[in-house]
Amino acid sequence: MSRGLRRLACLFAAMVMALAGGAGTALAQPPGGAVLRVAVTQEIDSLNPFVAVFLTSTQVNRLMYEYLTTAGPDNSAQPALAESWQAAPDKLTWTFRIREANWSDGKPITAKDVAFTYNQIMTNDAAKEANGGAVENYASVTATDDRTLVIVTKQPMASILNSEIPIVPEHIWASQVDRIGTLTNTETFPVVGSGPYVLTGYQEGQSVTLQANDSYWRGRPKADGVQLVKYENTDAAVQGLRKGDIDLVRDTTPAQFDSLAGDPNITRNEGRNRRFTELLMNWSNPSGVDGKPFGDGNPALKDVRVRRALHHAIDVNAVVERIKQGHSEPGYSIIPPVYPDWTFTPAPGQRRDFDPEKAKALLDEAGYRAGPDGKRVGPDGKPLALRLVSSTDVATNRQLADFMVGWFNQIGVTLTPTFKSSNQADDDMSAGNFDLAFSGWSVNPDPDPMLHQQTCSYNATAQSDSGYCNPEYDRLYAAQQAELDKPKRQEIVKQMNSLLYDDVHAVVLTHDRLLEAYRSDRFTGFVTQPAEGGVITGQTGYWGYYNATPVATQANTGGGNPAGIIAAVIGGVIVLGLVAFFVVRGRRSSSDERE
Amino acid sequence: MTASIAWERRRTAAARFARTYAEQRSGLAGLVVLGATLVVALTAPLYITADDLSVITATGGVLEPPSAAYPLGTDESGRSVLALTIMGSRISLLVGVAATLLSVVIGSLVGMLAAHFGGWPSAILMRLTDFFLVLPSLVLAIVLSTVLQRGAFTIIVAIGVTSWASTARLVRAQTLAIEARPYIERAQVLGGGHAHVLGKHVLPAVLPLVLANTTLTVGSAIISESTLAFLGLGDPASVSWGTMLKAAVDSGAITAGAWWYLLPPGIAIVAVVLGFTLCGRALEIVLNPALAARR
Amino acid sequence: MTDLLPSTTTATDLAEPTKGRAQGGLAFVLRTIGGGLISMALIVVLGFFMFRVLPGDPVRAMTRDRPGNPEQLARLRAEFGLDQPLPQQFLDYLGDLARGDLGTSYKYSQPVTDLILGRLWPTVLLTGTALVISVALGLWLGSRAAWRHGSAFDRFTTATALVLWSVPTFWLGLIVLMVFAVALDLFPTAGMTSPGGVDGFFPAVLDVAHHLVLPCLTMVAVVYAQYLMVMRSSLLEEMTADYLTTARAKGLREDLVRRRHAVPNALLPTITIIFLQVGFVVSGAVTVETVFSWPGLGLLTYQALAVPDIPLLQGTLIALSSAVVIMNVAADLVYRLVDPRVRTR
Repeated sequence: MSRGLRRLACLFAAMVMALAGGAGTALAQPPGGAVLRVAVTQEIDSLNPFVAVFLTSTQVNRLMYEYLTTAGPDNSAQPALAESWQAAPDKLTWTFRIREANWSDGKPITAKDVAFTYNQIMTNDAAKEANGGAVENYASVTATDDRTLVIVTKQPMASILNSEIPIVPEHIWASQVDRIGTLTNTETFPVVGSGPYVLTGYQEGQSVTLQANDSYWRGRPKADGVQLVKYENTDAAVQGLRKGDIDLVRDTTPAQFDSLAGDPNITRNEGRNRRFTELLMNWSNPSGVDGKPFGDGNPALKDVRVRRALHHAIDVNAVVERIKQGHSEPGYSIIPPVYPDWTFTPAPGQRRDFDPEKAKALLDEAGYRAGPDGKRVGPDGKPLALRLVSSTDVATNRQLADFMVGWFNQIGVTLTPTFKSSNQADDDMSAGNFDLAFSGWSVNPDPDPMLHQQTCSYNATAQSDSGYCNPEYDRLYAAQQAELDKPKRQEIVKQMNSLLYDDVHAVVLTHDRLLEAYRSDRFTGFVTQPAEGGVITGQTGYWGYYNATPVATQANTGGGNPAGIIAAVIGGVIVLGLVAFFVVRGRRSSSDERE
Repeated sequence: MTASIAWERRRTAAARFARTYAEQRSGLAGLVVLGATLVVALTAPLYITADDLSVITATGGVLEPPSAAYPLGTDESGRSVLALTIMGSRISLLVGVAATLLSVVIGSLVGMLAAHFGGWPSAILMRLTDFFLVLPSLVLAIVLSTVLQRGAFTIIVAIGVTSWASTARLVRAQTLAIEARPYIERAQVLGGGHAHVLGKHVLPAVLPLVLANTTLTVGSAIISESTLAFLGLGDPASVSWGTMLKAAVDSGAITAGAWWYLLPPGIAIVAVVLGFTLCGRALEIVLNPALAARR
Repeated sequence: MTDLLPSTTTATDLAEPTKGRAQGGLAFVLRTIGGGLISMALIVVLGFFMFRVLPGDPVRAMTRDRPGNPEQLARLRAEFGLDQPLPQQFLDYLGDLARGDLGTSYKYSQPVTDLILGRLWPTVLLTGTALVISVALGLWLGSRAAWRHGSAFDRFTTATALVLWSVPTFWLGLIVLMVFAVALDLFPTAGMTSPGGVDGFFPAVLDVAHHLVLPCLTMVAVVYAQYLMVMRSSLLEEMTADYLTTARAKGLREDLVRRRHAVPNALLPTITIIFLQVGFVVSGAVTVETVFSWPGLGLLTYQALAVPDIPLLQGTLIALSSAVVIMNVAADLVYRLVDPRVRTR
């Protein structure tokens, strides 16, 4: 028996280790030079700038193609391909001066390239997919000469300098306009571009490789390249960072982030991000589309006192401390505080804090009185029970839902969470088939698109938020859109934010920080956005990647992975053992027969 | 009088059954494990209060290692992993048993009908059975749970309708064997309809075997439940061993090295599934002593 | 083997090698292939209708978090044929399928066929390796355990197999991952190749092998137990057969009796079950690939879940199920060739 056991163990170990042993020495070596290797967990949908919509894909496109103007580290619009611009007194005609710069293949960049790109998006349906919305308000885009671009808008457009449209080279794309919507932009390498890096390789589902662009107009980046490496989950990515397989990881969980503390080679970056998390309250019932209510929202939510009561029941500080473990800040506005010009903080008398007693009082006032079991019963005799729709693709939603159930229970409101795939949850939200729902958006430096989403015209569309509709808000929206004077526009936006807050169009819960970490033994010099305490990845710019600076000649961290060598040695020993085992086994079979 | 004789006969049969079962040491062990789990699951509400499970009243830190206050540490919301594991048994067992019942009902029905009627209905049913038998049932269950509304009911349906094929095969074979016996023919000659033959004669004869098979199936149903939950198809609002493991992975417990969050639900699954498997094996031997030689 | 008895693994009863024995060779082949074709047709129908009852608008998923307008959505919907009536969609689907076109993935904007073909090889590598090791290990340990029935070795291997049979695959994977990849740092945590790739053919092969160890180990641990139990019980049954007594009486050594007579006969039902249970291995691949981020079809299935990416999910369902059906038909045919009892007829 012991012999059988020994053999069993031997064989098992041999099979495992023989495979591992030799392989242990095979370690990752990135393609030549100091390449910044970044772990990404999101998929790449396409690298074609006319099609790509996923965050990772648009991030890669930012590195490949310049915009007319771009958001700087301080989030203000900065010159990019346009070195200067001016608006005519009619507020509709904009003239851009295009700078003298070259594509990565050496050909000059001209206003005609810009006009070509914009006109494709405006006129070619196949090119509209990614950025069609950004040019909706454009009447015409023309290049009057190589250096001058004239854009005429239909309505005055305060946000024109934040139109994030990648400009492509006409001499490459002109011959391919008939299949512009189906190109993956990985047909031939290198892909001619104008950004700090040039796309040189793509392996579906595995990696994207970019090399420094020698003819970049701001000057060649200090890193020799950027490589995005696909990981299925952040656990694996964090391990990769520890081992030195990658140099930068983003969007870790608080537990993972905390576990990286104390590693001398790793620097953590807790970046204030341009996102917000919100609890939607269904407005579709009171507001409707063209006056007609839609969806099946609970009518109790029509009453602003009920919405305010629910807000008072939520302990946002507990969300920050318990769920986000301090890596977050309480939110009040759909414009995150990383945009100080546009964000909003309610006045002390206006602010609604965590106060269950006040919540109960408000519910009493609205006619929802506590029954004998403590549950609130409405004037119609029905208990106040709400549904919470939540998407499963945000991991913290589950925890957040647990807390909401507890808090609402404290004020006598029954909350039933249902979890759906992101697609089904989105459907429920845009159709108005929910009472409460978790949502969240990334916000661009110009507040216009985010503010636009709260107008009546967005109701029952995919971009609809809570189904909010208030004519006064819509009036203010139109006013700010046409207001080219920034301080005046700021004042209007503030009024809009205040209105949203008082109406409780939703409860903005938190602005979560983006948890990033990088190998500071390999790269430093990352410029964050905003410059103070901002993020390295996920910017509306390329500052993080562009300024990454390799640490002097500290060759690759690989090469000396002790575990790999140990595994190799053990593997070799076991392989020998396996050979010996079979030799011995051959001899022994005669003795077996006597058993 | 006759009633008491019948009763007496049943009592001795039960005693014989218990004695044979008791001879199976591993079967007894399985029974003990299952019994203990069942007691714990049923009595859980007596010593675990809603406050222990509510995140807003939780007092522990985030992913705290085991301590006197929290024998198995805490989860990402500061709740006791021990309390969660105990409460998780309820949903896991419920889903496992319910899915198995569904599967066994479908399987027995298909098997009995296929054997009893023969001809083309049998051919169609067995074709369908073969189809479901070879299909990767997890993939099918994944698709079903994606299509239907999320929740415990969906998981039960998804597991139930994808795992009945082996029961159907088994029941069909057994039914064929039983219907070949003379007394069935006699019953048919005496004018017993299909329902009579199947309900009065075939079903009671098939039932013991189905029972043993059921016990074995519960184990794989519990594993399927946890797997679907791990793939994100469970109902995150309810605590089961599967959703606990999903939550552990999502919160980064692997990287943080929080083994106390990963081990208890997993070990609980292994123990219960093993318990069902051992019981099922023991039952088979009791029902079919010839098998003992092969064990 | 008798039809009656379920084994521990609920597997022995599933094999019905009696199928078609009484028929002529050609009739048997036709019948087997015909059955396979029916199964394939069922898969195709299932693949369509299961997904069309899904509520929700997949187009929206593609435009999430981005500004878009209703016309754009309508255009995309038309592009994917979602504005057509259901029967028309089914006909289109059949036509596309005949041309090997499984539609375009919502998530990746790429043909599903390309995605599946790209992920095929890693899955074949992983499941193939795991299967070969499991079969070898299961048959070897199973036959030894049966031959020394009741010994400590038998009890130990059986107990181990039973415990491993009770372990959820994904959980074992997580534990293996935490111990060997995270804590001990001996193996990579994810993927099939090192990030950025490795230069040279031989190092690249080693690199893949290094990544293969943990997922393969996990799969083997869960799968081999089943083969062990089946092999053990069919050999135990063979051992009681009269011809073995005859063989022994002829003076054949015990070892030879086992190798020449008992084991080959016990192998046949076991191998049938191995093929019948390929679906189980495929199911295991989904969870193992998910845990270890192995870029195969299982992971692709998982990735299609969150959206859900209907064409992709439909594609992987069809691909995985068809593979299993084809393997079973092949097994039936091969069995017919190999089984001496069948051949002699």
